[in-house]
Amino acid sequence: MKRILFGISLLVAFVGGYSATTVFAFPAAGVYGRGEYNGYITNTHDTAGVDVFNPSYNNGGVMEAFPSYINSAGEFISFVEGKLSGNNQEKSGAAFIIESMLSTPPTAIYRNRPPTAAQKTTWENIIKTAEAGGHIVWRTNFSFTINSYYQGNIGGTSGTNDDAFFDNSDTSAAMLFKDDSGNVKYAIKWQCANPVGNSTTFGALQQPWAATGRTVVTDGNPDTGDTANAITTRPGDTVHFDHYVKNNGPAATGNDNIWYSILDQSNATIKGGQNSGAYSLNQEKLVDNTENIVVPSNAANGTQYCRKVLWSWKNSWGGGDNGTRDGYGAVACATVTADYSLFPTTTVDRTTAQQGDTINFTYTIRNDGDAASPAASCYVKEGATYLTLTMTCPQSFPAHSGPVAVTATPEAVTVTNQAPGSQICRQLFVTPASSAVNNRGSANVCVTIVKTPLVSFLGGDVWAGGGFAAVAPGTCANPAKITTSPSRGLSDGSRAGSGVAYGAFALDKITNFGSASVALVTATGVGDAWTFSNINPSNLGFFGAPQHCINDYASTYASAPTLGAGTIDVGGGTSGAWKITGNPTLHGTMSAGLQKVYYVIGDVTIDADLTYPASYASAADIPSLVIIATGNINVAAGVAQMDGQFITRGTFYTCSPKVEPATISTCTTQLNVNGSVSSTNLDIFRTAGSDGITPATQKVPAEVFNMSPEVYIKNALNQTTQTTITTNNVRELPPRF
Amino acid sequence: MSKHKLQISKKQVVTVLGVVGALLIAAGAGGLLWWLQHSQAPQTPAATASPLPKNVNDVQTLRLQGNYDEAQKKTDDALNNSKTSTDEKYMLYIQQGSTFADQGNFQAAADSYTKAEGVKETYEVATLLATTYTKAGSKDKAIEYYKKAITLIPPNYVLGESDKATFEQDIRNLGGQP
Repeated sequence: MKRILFGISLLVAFVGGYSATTVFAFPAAGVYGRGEYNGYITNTHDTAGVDVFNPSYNNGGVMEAFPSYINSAGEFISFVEGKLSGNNQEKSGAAFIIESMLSTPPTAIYRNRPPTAAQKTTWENIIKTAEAGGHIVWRTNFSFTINSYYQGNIGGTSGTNDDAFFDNSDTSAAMLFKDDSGNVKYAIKWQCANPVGNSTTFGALQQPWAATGRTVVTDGNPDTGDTANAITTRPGDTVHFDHYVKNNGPAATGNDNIWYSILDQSNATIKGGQNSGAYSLNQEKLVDNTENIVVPSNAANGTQYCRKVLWSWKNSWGGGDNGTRDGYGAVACATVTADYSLFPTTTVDRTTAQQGDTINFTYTIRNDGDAASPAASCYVKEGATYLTLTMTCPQSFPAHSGPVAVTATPEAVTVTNQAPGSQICRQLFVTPASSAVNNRGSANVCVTIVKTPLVSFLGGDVWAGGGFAAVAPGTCANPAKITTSPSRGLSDGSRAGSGVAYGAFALDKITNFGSASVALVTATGVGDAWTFSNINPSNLGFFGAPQHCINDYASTYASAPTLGAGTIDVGGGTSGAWKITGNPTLHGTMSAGLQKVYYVIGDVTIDADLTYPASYASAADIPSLVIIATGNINVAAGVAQMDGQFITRGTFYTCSPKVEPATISTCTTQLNVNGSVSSTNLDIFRTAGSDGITPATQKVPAEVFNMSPEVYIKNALNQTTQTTITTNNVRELPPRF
Repeated sequence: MSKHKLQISKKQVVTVLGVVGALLIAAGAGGLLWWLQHSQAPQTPAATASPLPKNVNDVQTLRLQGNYDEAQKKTDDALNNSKTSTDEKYMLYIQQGSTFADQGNFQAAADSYTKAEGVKETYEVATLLATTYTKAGSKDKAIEYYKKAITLIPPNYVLGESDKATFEQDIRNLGGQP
């Protein structure tokens, strides 16, 4: 039994001895993924070597690899990076230190030799971050179980030229780098620059982070051109600021909290000083959204409300919070637009007017600006003349006022004797129009004085349409229109317009032409009592005439004695009928009792009056003049009276030669035709009458066609020669109003 | 209550000594086997971790956090604990010395390191005493310990030659002759 117990004791002692010896064995997973004595960069196994950096500095009698002055991140960075330009031993050692400190084992381990520029920058930021966080102990004794060395000789002229870890328990002066929780994650021996540690070290150092900030300004009323940090605002708007801070990494802020303040750029004051806490990677926080500014109604144009967010640190290596925020975002501003802008407007109720008409000018001013105007003056000019009107100016116009009338009622201007063709103009001005424009005028609004000449048919009807039966078969069914200018109301309530004493007939449309001695008011109103057209069955009396055929008597006188063309005075001579081939000109006064028929194959020009005697001693004294033309009958502008019957297969021109466009100087003489006119076309172009300031003068027609009784009593066409006038038929006619 | 005198025979003493010696030989054989296995540096990572003993690590952590009082108290408690192993006591004395050194008390630090040396005379503690005496201005002592450290450099220590050269230069810097 004793022997068995002794054997067991021996076994236990053996195992205990083995286990006790393995306390300081190399980590199972290696260090930074490398086994013991295996190079960090190349993974080459090599058990011979020297210090990572040579101990070439005499620090108070002790030879060390770092100069004793190193006690800051900047000095350490500069020293290590300086070794990247040294010999092979130093280049490998510097890369070994930088790359292993960059690494976050076991997920990310870097092995570049030399380190990339980006890696160097990140490493620098890691060291600075550690310093800023108070995570570096520059010198203390540190007990470790893992040491490292350079795989080669001094200077690196032979050997593997790499650095490796190995199992070694020792205590030595070292510089320590801790993580954000205060745990040592990296240690370097002062004596030899060897990275040292144990299984709890060689972890990730705190990774750096950097923050940005932005401020967004709004006012609830987006304007064209507004951006996140520059907007236009107006009195009454509420300007609102949102301030954001964002951690752009590359790591979370860990235990670092970001404090922020708000800078009132306009007043150079800082508000707040709040802790916005820690940030995860890429986290953005709305740190402040509390400020709302109501823009005062009297805010001056151009007033700015500017804010920006400040924070600290701006990054993990920011150097500590001493109360000054070292990070700041772009300033965001709301700029007040509070100018006024006055625009005068003149409007008128018509573009043309005739004598006796009333023109109404309306004057308004609107403010398109964002602020109320000061008391602005306004005035009206007619050309260069200032008019004296009762106006509401000076007055203030509210922002975005819309049109504001500046006279109690429109200015009413009655056209008196202003000549047709002249203009009546008005232009409204306002001053000041804006802070930059002293005076602004409306468009110069003008009304042109015009006249609408009238034609009047008395003692008979008017017929349009059809044709002469002898001209060509079928012309009797030709449609034709009666078209005149609209009638207009006059100051006494009556109307002035063209019309006929009795009936108006047309095989087409009748427009604006009155009948039964009444001016047409509307298409369905007064003035169409005796109007008969073929077009509109619902009004204007649907006549429905199939045709209208009349005789031009040309064939009757085709064999009449010929007469030479030229200027013919119809006075004197004897009665008779003549045939003229050519273009004669006629004028003169018919002698009493004469009956003359001129059949002209060509155009006829009437260059002066054609008249009958002013009175007759008996019916036998009544003359009769008939002019028949196969061409046109052209009445010269100066002709005032034409007595007789006029038949033309062409056009009867009342104003010849015709001048277009007509002016008030064109054919200003009233033409009175006493008799009848039969023509293919009737071109009435006189401008007489229709003017003056009384209804009577305003109703004066330019042409008067008067179906005179001479036509019935004595007519050359039927050789009527009765010397007495007898009544053989009586017919009741409707009253005329 | 009666008192009994303990009677131990010579044979029994020889037997006990024989058993203890056998156990020590067995333990040494185990350690030798480990050393033989690991003296040929592995191509792959070793199979076990290598932390500091917990007490030692805790004290070092407190020290590095600047909690010197707590570090010293925990050191004292551990040193006064009968269950604390000799190796741990050695390391605790080193931590104690380092705590004093961090506070600028190099003489107290040297005293603690000397206690560690009393437990186990090693290259590590010789080096610590050399550097501590250097800082304390005790050049002779510093030279003495540098020379001792050179003699205690472990065999097969990869940096043995480098350290030897460094310590020799340190001795010269202090006015001595290596």
